[in-house]
Amino acid sequence: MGRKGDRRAAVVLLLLGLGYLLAATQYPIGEISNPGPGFTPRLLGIVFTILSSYLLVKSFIGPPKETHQPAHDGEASPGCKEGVQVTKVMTTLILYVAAMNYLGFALSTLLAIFLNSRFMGLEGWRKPAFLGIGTVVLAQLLFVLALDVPLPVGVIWGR
Amino acid sequence: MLEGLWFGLRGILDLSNLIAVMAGCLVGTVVGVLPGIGPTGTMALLLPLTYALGPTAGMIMLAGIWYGAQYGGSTTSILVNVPGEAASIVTTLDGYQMAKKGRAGTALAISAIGSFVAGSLGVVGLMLFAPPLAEVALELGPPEFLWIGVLGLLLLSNLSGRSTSKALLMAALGIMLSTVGMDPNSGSPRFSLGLMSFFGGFEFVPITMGLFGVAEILTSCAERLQGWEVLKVRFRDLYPNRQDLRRSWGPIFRGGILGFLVGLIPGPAAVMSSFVSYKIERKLSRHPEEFGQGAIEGVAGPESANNSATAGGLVPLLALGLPFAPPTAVLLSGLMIHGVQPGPLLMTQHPQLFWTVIISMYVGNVILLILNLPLVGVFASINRVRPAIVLPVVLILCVIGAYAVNNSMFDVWVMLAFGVLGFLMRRFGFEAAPVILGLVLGRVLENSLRQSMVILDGDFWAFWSRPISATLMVLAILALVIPPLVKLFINARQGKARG
Repeated sequence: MGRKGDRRAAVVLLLLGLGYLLAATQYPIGEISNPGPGFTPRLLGIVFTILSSYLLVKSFIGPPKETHQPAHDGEASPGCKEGVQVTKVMTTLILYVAAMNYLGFALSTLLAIFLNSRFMGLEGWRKPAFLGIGTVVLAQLLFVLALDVPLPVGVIWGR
Repeated sequence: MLEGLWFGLRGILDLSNLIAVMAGCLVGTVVGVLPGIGPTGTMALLLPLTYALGPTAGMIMLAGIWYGAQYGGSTTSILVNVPGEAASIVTTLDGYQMAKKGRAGTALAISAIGSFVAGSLGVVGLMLFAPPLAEVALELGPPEFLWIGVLGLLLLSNLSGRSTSKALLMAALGIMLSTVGMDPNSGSPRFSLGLMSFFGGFEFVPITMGLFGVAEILTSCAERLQGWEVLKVRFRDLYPNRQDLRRSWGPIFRGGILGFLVGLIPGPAAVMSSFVSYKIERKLSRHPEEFGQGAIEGVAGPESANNSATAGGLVPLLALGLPFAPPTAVLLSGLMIHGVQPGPLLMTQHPQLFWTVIISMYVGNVILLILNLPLVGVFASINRVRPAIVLPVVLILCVIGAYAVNNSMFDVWVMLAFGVLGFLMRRFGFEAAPVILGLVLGRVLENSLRQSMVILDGDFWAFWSRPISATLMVLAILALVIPPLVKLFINARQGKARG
């Protein structure tokens, strides 16, 4: 990601640290021999702010970095197409979770699997549909029947 | 110890424990084989299953996934040239070269045999080290636990990823997350934003599944969504010849001992031990020029080391109750769900659990040897299944897994938020492991710090008056100061060489 990426990340983290430190001041610090609920958060907020400031300074004055070095072998920087793909998958997942209480587990899961498998490159309509139906049936058998997990049935089905 | 072993032998004969070890090894091998799905995410995903299994069977299954993944990871490295698991990255160097020369069967066999021998050596080490360490730990108080935790996080930050400052920031973020919810001493809510859902604090499972499960899948979406080309291997090729065995015994035993010792150190022990073992074997080899071209020692050593490291990683968890690697943090969570507190008292309060887990690891290593030799072709063919089929289903399983912890949609939202955060963290070069360990160790650290201040009457210098605490503090200071000094020294030397 390089220095520019580090700079952006450091600014976000610095703001987070300052916000946390500010919020921590609301809780009593207690005494040094009997610390209160605000003692550790203040300490942490200070450490976090110092570390993120260090990262920010380093992103300006440190040695120039090559472009993004992958954290793991095989990891590549996603291009625009892949970025769109990730956004589609994540949006589907968010809508899936938001809709689960209304549509119920079965219908929302079927739709989510159908859409996400297509976004990930599964061609046609039949394979994604079968994958969705298979997942719903297996999940119902394993989680609802065998493990007694009460998955949402759905408001639109009257429950 | 003999009594303990007897406990363990009786425990493993229980059908539910036997099924748990088999299931754990099978699932572990599969996730090890599949690139993009790691053992930590899988263990967190299956954590809700342990409600039904009980603490012993649950722990046996989760541990099986962890060490099983080390076996499976090598299969993909050798046959596909893609590490199925981070700890098998180094195996691609020589394993795939061997496969290209038609020696895939030998590489797989040596990898499985090495994993078996070293895995068993690691379990012996765990059995010998953990009980005496637990006895020592009984004498430790909050000041010592505070500095063990601090030292652990510092070492982890030095050894994880490329940037110590980024890793330290992530560890601090994890500790900050642990402060959300009820204050353990006064019971008053902190950082709850007035929302009831935050009063109980962040659950470990949704955050782990978000950072390791959802984030991994999103990263895979951004990388590659095609199935892999898998080299074929015949059953009759799975017999190493005498020369292969002669060249492999040394690396296997060295890797086994080295892996266990590295496993005791906080950090990504399995990955680290495999790299260290590779370097050592190349140095010791009579044929260093063969390394990178298909040297069998380059497969035998690292694959043995990463298996033994998992057993080493269990020592601090079982003896001190402190997890220093994400998979052991999941194991800790799995025990605490059932009200079992790992730590110095575990072996006296729950001997059946401790010894059954130990014996299950011996049994698991035998199962894995059987699974990974004759069935290697079956497991390798999993890589032909397109990620477009596997990943959407795993995403749904993550959602169900997060929901099942408390039957709460709030946990699912937390998991999604941390999934996005984890994806962005990877893009910006931040590691997820320190966040998880900060979250888990944060509560221990805060309690230890506050109790220490009460015990020491607020006198910070009194930490120096306790010998173990003082030693740990010195080590923590060295862990903080030495790496930047070494970096400065190396930079200066490189500058001199260039100038």
